[in-house]
Amino acid sequence: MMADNKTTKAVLALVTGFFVLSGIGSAAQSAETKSREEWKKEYVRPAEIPFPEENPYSKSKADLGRTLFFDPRLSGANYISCATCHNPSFAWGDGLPKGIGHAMTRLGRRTPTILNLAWGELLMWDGRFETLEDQALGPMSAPVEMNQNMEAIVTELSQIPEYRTLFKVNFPGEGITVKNIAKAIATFERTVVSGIAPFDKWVAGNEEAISTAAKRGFDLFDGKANCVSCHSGWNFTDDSFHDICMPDDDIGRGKQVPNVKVMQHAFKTPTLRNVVERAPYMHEGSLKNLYSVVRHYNDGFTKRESLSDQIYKLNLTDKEQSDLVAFLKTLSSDDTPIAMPRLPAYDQTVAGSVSGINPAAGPDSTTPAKAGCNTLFSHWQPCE
Amino acid sequence: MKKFVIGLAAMGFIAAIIPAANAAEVVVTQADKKFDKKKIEIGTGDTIKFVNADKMGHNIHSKGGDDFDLGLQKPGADMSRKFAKAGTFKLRCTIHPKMKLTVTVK
Repeated sequence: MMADNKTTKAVLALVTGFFVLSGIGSAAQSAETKSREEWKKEYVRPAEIPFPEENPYSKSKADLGRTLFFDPRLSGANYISCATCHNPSFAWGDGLPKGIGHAMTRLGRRTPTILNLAWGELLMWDGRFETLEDQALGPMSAPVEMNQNMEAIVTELSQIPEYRTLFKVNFPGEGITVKNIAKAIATFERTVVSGIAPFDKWVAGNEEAISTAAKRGFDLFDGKANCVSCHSGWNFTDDSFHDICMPDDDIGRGKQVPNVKVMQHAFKTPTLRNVVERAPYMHEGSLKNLYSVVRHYNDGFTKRESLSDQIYKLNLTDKEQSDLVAFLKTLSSDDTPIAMPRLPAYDQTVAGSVSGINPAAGPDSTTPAKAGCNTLFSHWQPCE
Repeated sequence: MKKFVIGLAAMGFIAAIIPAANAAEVVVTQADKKFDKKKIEIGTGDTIKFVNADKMGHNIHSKGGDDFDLGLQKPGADMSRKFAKAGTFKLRCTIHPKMKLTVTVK
């Protein structure tokens, strides 16, 4: 019986192999001959936000996560919130070449946006976190970033009456725990989705929504410029990792998978949604605007062994480069500005005056990040 | 005696070819940044032949069990991996982490 199964498998494998080999040519051919209208179908927005079974959506939990996201008391010195770096006014980035953390420590990489992370796979520039829940705690506990002691944060939030109530409602029988702080923040982050952009209106059928130059740029994006090989789908990323040969020594994903050649100097492909608002660009923030980005991909990179096989000289003309930038500008949504939440107040009872933390203490400038942490590879991870 | 020797030799030949006959090869295809299946069940000693029918390179990698890295696989190329250990293994393309395959070796 076993041998029969094996034989069947072997035959199936042979047959499958035949069809696979036959299909190679046709797959490549279909990509080359795809029309503009066919390409547009690849960019249709999803109808729903995906939430994991282990941490399902509720409005109440997302609201709690939003409050926590904007609350600077989540940092060790009580003056840095998640939103300090992931600023909604900069499309959830910070507008800086590299982030700035606790005690004005300059971090190793540019702050990535949190837009559309509900669809993300492996978080951070180097993909070291599997889930948003894991990721939410990383910057909070990193000495160079928010420098929070994770045992202390539970005590601190427990001294704020409204937080006690909010956690009791959202996590019955559990209340305030590190895990639940992460779950609430991750739930909020999954709701941060880029809105309808002119590009979406065009995909939906409004031919007037974007310019002729932008339409030509779209054709280049999916064709000659080969941007689509990584910036694919409605979110303009396939979450892949590539070495695009930025001239620095950061090995990126290579630190997580040291034995894989193509992962050396590789970084996560970011979304291009609302990209205009998120300058400067690249993981090390060295490119000031979208023209400089297009120039880099056109012929501005230096080659090294780990260079992605998707990066090659494009030979785009100046006009083609302008068309590409015109297209990228159509990806910005005109969203209603997000309202800042009212943060829960400290305990104003007599008991609170004894047991609560002292809000007048303010940022603790006497506890800087550990010496030596401001290195290239210390970004968003504890320094030792 | 002669018959006995021939018989022994024949048995030896059969014994030698049994493992080869038992070990199957299963093909898994990569196209459009996806494996053509999410899960696969094979026998101990079976081989999976990974065919890259995509327009870009892939790099199949497994961590946390039967660790291996097949290295960069160019478009049109195929690579094989024999699974000698029983267990469940999570495979992923290191370049395109959404490409995942669970291999159960029985």
